[in-house]
Amino acid sequence: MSCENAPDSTESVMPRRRRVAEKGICIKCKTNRGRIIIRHAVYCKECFPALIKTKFRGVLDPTVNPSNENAPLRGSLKAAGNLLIGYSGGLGSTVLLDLLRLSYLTPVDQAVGKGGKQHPKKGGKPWNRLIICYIECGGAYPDAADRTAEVEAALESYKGDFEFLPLRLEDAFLNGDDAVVDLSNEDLPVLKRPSAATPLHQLKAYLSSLPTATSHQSAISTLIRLILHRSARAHDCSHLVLGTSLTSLSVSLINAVAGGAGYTIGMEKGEELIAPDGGIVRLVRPLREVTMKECAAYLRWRNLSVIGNKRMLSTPSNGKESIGSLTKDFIFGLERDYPSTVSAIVRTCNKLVSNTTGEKPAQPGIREWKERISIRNALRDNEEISTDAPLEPSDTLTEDSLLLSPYLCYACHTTLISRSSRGSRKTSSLGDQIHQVPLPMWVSENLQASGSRQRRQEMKGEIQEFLLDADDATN
Amino acid sequence: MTSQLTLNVEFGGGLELLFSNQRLHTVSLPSYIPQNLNKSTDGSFDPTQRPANVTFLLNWLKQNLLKEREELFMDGDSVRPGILVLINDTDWEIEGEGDYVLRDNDEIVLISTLHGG
Repeated sequence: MSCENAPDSTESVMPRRRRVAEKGICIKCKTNRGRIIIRHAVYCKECFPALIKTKFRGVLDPTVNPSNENAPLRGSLKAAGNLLIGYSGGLGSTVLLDLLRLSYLTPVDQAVGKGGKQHPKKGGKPWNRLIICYIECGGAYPDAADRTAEVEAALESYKGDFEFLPLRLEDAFLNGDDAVVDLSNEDLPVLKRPSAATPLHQLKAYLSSLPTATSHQSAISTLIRLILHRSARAHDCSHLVLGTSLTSLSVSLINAVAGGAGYTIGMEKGEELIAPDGGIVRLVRPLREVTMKECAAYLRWRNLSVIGNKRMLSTPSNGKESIGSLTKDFIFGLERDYPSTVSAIVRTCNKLVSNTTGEKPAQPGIREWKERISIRNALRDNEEISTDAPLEPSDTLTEDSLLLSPYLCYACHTTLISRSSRGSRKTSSLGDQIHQVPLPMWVSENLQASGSRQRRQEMKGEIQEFLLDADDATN
Repeated sequence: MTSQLTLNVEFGGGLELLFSNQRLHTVSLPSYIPQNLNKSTDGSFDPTQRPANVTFLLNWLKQNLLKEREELFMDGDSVRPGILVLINDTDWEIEGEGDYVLRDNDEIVLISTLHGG
């Protein structure tokens, strides 16, 4: 018996499974009528907010205290620095802010608990400063309005306890040293070209040079993430929190795998960002166990509101959908019809372990791997594929090309040079623009630092046999 | 028996952008589904009069109040995935989803989760 394709050649769509929820009483208090169903469990309106708060604190509390031998006593929370909150005006970050205020801004003298060493009161701010960081992304879209004033007005009720830090997406191109990259060359040579362009123009030039809608969306997400990281370091923050829900996290995990960033998804459950001075910023997603549906119900019953974003109504760039938007549609459909599947995605990804530490690593040998897995040229009979060694980067960022490609992960490399709708790079409609694409300011900073590290390692290798061991030096 | 139902419809989570940026709407609907819209599950017209339900309301909203981007609101005869529907402060999955029979002065809240994190 063989497994054959179904004779019907029309497109098959999985039938939607109709869920019939049982009316009943709340599973928690066993008293009130159930008002919302979350993965087959029914909760009343009174017990539901406490459930969300418990999930929220269950993720965030264990990360507050620095993990060292001088950490405060168990039960009291005291962070090593300040807290930076990534705020977009959307559902997750609105819920996140409300939960932060409810959970951690209770004055100590009003806190619950007997007090003393054995029963410390659970109140007071764990962080010295709480900073709400909003990144205005209107510059990335044509004719998009600046929402900074609207966001600041919406956060009026948080003034006094929170500080507001407005930033812009084009800040990624501030204070740059005019480094540009040639996207027509897969090795991505980086050059220095003086430019009088404003950061906004450089941002637009960078984004318009990207090959696909997916690249565009991915680049914006990366810029936002790195601006938040750098801001956290600049403001002596020990924690950076984001309002990523379970649903959003599932979307970003599947998106990452589809975009070639599967190497780093094991780090999505939490990252520790190590600054050059050794300071650590913990990236935490306290709503990672709360679904979008729960966030929406919480929003309603706590009388919160999101800031509507008209960019959501705009059509995708070039009329084509990105991997991200397709993934989002898929995951949201799953959450409606098969809600347990969404949490299964996150649980499965949590089991992945990264074998590196620090910020998102770049797996080595991307160029060679791409050469092996893709057909680049039509081969004649008996012609063999060339296996030349990859080009090595030169030492300094000068007029001689420094190659960016060896320092990129697969996902970032593909974001810049994906071979799809843009067609052949030589015949690209972008013309000369593609040869001098501005780069975010941290690219040349990191290239120079990598170059310096490499030179130090090379020099150390040359004189290794003459170096004294630490033990020999003390004798 | 009233021939019209008065309902309070509220949009949240950014969904109001599709409805003239107005969150609160008071709508008046017939108590029974008009004959030309009264279809059975097999697609044929059902001669028996059926009381207005949530599915009928959603299609009415699409036809009469929705200003743009229909695909961000509806998916077939139901709301697009990612929109939470509350009927009198209760999850519509508990109340029977689209088959819930509407009553006078019911409050229907639709909250979009598509504005992300």
